[in-house]
Amino acid sequence: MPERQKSPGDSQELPGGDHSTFWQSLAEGRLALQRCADCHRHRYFPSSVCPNCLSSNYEWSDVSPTGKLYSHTTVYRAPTKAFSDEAPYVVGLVDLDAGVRIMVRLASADGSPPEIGSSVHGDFRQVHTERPLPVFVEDSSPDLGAADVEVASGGHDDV
Amino acid sequence: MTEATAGATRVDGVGITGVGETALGRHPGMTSMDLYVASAVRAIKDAGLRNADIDGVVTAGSRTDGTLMHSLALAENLGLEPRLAATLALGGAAHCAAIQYAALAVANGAAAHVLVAAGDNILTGLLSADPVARVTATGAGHPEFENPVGLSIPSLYALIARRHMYEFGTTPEQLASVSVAMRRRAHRNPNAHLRDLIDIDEVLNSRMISDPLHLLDCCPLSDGAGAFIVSRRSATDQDSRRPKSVPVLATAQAHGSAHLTLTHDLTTTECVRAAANAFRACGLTPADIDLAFVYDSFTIAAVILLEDLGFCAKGDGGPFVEQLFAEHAGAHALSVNTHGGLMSHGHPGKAGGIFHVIEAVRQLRRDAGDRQVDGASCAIVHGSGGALAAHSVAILGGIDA
Repeated sequence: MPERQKSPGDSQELPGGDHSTFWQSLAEGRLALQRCADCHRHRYFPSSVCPNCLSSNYEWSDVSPTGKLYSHTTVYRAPTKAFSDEAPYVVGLVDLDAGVRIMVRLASADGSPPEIGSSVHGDFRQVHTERPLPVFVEDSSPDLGAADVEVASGGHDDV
Repeated sequence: MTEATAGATRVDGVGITGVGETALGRHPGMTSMDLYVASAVRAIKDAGLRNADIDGVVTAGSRTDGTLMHSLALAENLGLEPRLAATLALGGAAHCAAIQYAALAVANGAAAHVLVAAGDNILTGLLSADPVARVTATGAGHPEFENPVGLSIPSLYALIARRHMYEFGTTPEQLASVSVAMRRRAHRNPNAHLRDLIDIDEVLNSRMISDPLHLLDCCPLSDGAGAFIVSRRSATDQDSRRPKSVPVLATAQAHGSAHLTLTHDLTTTECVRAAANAFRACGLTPADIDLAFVYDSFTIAAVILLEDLGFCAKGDGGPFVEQLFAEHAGAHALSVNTHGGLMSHGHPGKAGGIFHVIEAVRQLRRDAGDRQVDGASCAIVHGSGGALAAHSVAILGGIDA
């Protein structure tokens, strides 16, 4: 098939939102965020321009997957059938030391959430799908082996 | 634009000239458009107008009706030829934002009578097929960075509630008092979806949806629609057979981040800005308000929004509602959601706050029957979209103003 002629409207170096780097970092046990090359702020959600200064120049940098718990909720009534099997599970908002907030699953040995304000860190051994689930655990919790803890503490009564 | 009106719209001589609604509940034989049409026809007749008079149309769309230009599909059903049309996607902030846009258009002369309608058949048209989705709904947050953790709309509000409890000591009982009070109001409202009286214990013992929110901390989802018409007051007030119009004194919008993860402060919302701007634009304060219609999609929403509208200090919302809604509280300076709110009057999922507007109008017309608040002469209606992300307010005055 003959190659299509390039036309003037074809995309020319427009800033693109590169999400794959973020997900790849989680899959590899790291946490990478975009850092604006002009105003130096880290940002989240991954996006094509800096919401502070609108620059499209950025670089990816690994940040420490550590932070403080801002809020949490234990979901008993899941939004879809796909999640019902996992319920109850804990969703949390974590203020990363890097200065952004991220929504995560919180895992623990007994399924209960840490106190708000607790120090938490990413436990990326628990990722188990192509799109890794960001999972965080309390700093003081005993070392959670992937075999010991399920992200989903299933077996609860009906939802 | 003068300093007094920065961030708000103030117009003179513009009012809500007609209202109409269906009851909220189950309407199994009706499509979403049927419900929209029914409410719109009632509003047009209530205003003493004909369809030929309506030259503006604003709707909130539908979850079941995939038509491309929803406002124009409604116009087509009603035989309208609009000069102004919009389908507003602002979630639960659409109804008051619509008042603002309609008031601007009418004041400017771009349209004479703007029909605003909102509703849906979410209960029988969408949720009956999937029982698990009846209380919770998919697509609550960001599809890539929030939903995959298993987020639901109640869990967004639960995150907010948990933070409010942490910062201010708000209790589950205080949240439950909102639910009980809304049901007491709906008990007197034949158009309401949920009317059976409940008590605090029933709320606390209802199944946990997303901690700390129980089933009865969440509004139901209902079939139904409501509509109102915005016009120059002089256009309809000469007809003595019709109720007098309710003046729109000021409107304002203020919005935060679209997604909860990027919302810096979960317990103070942009409603603070919208309300402050609207009050300043018309020279009023919360002390002048007789009736407040807050967007009570969840009990915690009512608590936070009563704070942010300025009726009590930040963080005092829990004790404030407990006192306000105590069964034997007696007459209080402030009446809230006299129709039963989203919590009990019901919520069609699309701009359910339209019923807040309709009830405010009925109260200000002195036409609210046994729900009538004596001497009602000033109301604030509020709506919020997303998880307290988008905010719109409208301050309405007495018909003798």
